[in-house]
Amino acid sequence: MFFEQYDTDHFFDEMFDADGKVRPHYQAILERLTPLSIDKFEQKRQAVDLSFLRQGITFTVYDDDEGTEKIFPFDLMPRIIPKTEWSFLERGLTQRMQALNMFLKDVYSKQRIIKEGIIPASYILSGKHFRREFMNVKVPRDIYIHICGTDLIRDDKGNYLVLEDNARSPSGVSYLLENRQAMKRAFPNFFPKAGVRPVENYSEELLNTLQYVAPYGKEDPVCVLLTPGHFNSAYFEHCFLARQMGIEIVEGSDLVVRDYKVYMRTTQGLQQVDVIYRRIDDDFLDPSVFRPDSMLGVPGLVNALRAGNVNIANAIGTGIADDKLIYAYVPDMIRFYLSEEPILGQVETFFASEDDDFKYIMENLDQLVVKSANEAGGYGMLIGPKASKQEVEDFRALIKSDPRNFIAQPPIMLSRHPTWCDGDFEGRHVDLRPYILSGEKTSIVPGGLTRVALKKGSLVVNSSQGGGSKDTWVLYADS
Amino acid sequence: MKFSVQHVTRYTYANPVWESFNDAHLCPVSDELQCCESFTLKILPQEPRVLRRLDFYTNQVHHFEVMEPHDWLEVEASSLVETMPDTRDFTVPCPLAGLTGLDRDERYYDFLAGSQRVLLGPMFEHEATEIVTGVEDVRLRVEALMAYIFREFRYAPGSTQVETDVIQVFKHKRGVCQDFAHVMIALCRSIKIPARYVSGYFYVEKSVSGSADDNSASHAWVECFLPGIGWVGYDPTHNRRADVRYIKLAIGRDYVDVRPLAGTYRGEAVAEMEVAVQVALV
Repeated sequence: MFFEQYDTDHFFDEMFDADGKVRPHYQAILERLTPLSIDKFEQKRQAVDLSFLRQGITFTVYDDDEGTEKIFPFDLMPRIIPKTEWSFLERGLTQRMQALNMFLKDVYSKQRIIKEGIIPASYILSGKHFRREFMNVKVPRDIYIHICGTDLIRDDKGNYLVLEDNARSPSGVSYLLENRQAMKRAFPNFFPKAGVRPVENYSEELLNTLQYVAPYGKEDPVCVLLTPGHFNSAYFEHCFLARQMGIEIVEGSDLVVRDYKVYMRTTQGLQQVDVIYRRIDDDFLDPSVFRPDSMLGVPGLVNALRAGNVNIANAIGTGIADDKLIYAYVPDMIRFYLSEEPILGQVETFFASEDDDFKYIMENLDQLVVKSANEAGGYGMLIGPKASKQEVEDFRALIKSDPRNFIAQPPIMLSRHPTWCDGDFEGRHVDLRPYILSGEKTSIVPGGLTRVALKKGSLVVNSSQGGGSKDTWVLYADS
Repeated sequence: MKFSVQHVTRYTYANPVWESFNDAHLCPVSDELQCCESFTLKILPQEPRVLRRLDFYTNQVHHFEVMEPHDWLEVEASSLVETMPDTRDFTVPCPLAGLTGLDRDERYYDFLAGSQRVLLGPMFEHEATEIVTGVEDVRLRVEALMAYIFREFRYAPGSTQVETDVIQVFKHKRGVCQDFAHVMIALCRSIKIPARYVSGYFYVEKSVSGSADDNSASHAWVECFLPGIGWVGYDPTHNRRADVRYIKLAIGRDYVDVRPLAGTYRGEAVAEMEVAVQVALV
């Protein structure tokens, strides 16, 4: 029997309420698991792991001496979201995306939000990912973030909070799609009856989004996926998505610019490209504009973009929107651009660059989570309550040397979810990354990537830091 | 005063190069003090299409691309420009209090923060503070910093390269107009006075080749923001305010933002560059 020893330890648990009663939307899966033996469950689990390895669904850990390719551990116990909860998230995320897109249009043209004193100019202009080169460049349909992966967490009361918006080149959606395949294989009879909304049309929606933002509203545009190449940690995903969409995957050297138009080299000669789904950072995109030493990009691409002959997704300079200082202003952006109150909450943020906040951070460093303003993947982060004295002091020095680059937040006790750990279910902390597409309309694939911190007590869910993932079910109903 | 300017840049490559992408900051500014009456850009040998745009600091940029292999490239910028005397009252006080909060304003932030070629450091702050001690007016502070550079630094062509960083210049106290402009910017920014780099030309009646008074060279100076007056040009190479003899091409955080010609190309060859400038009174 499962869950007899299960303890929520006073955390918010996704499956069980505070009295240990199963939540209604988990009732069906509980009934499905109950008659299973531990051996049978183990068998299913191992079969899934093996299939991931065989398919080569791997990622790369940087700074790791032992071979770079790893499987992203998969936990068979799905995370389940009832209908009402999901439609609330959809409304909140849609609102947020609208505001972020309006912010980017504004900050790269009129800068009203600065001039009207909502966001200090210094925060924008000192942003590592604010691209002066992109000023006044018009983009088709005024969409800047076509693909966003927003990280959500739940606090100890179960409130959803936005932790960060990944507005540059979010990865992980291939795991979402593969996890679903794995679940269907593991529970072939149960799954079709469970009332789970499908996620399989993500690639089709993504292609629709790319086609919708083609220059001049061109019909049937040529789209390609631009990858930095097979050394990139997400190369598997690049291939996966290109294949699913039926578009070419290219590297910088496969593209060439002639007379402000971008062409792809093919066996039949040059073919013009209209939309580039780029999985390569701004810095490396065009050596004639950004880093001249970049071997990955396409010289001339930015001027082709300026001339309006090509579009890229996401746009250049979207990184200013997911700068962690700017994150703190998203609720103000929603009020400023949409005249609405934010639907989704987010985490209180202190700025090391402000005198009062700096003092507070220095005095409470061992009680705070400190993040570098522009790092992703769980790198460059301090979790005060879990850090050693030495780690805290090292961070203190780092913050002092570059205050603009750090923010601090109170630690949030992320919600927990039953997770298979060495022969039984135990509670582990989870987050949720839904994938939001902005095209003709904003669409969010029903589900998302639920990441789980497999280490007991750990709050860091990133794949590079020992995290795993779960399939995420959004139900047609509330139970 | 009315001038004709000819600025010819010729690159020669030992082996052919191709896919050359270039941005030119060669078109004189039109503003209250200057009017660019005509501008033409001629590019040889391939006469590519030129795309004009404004950069972040609203300078005009002319972009062109030369795709076919070539072993030389010539860019000839010709302009006719009229300069007007600055009639603003420079005797009004410029209180230091006027500098408060400028680092939060989008018009000044970039000219107060360190930039790629003007990295700020404690040595600049230390030196600047020492120079301006007792001076309680922003304009007088700027003039004190300029006079300091003029007095302490030696004009020495060849002592620095175009990439020499401002700390080296500051240590060796030698350089050319570009270096002096960078040092002055570093000193001003260190004491919270917005300062920006100006690239352009300077006309002198008695031109001496290779000296600081040379009509066949481009020039660089600085603009500082004086509360109550506005942006004012200062030339640390000559220790004076920029006047009708100064022709402005572009402004930026430092040299990198306003390079007259900047670009990349494919190919093995190192470029040899020859520049010929001629500023003449019309």
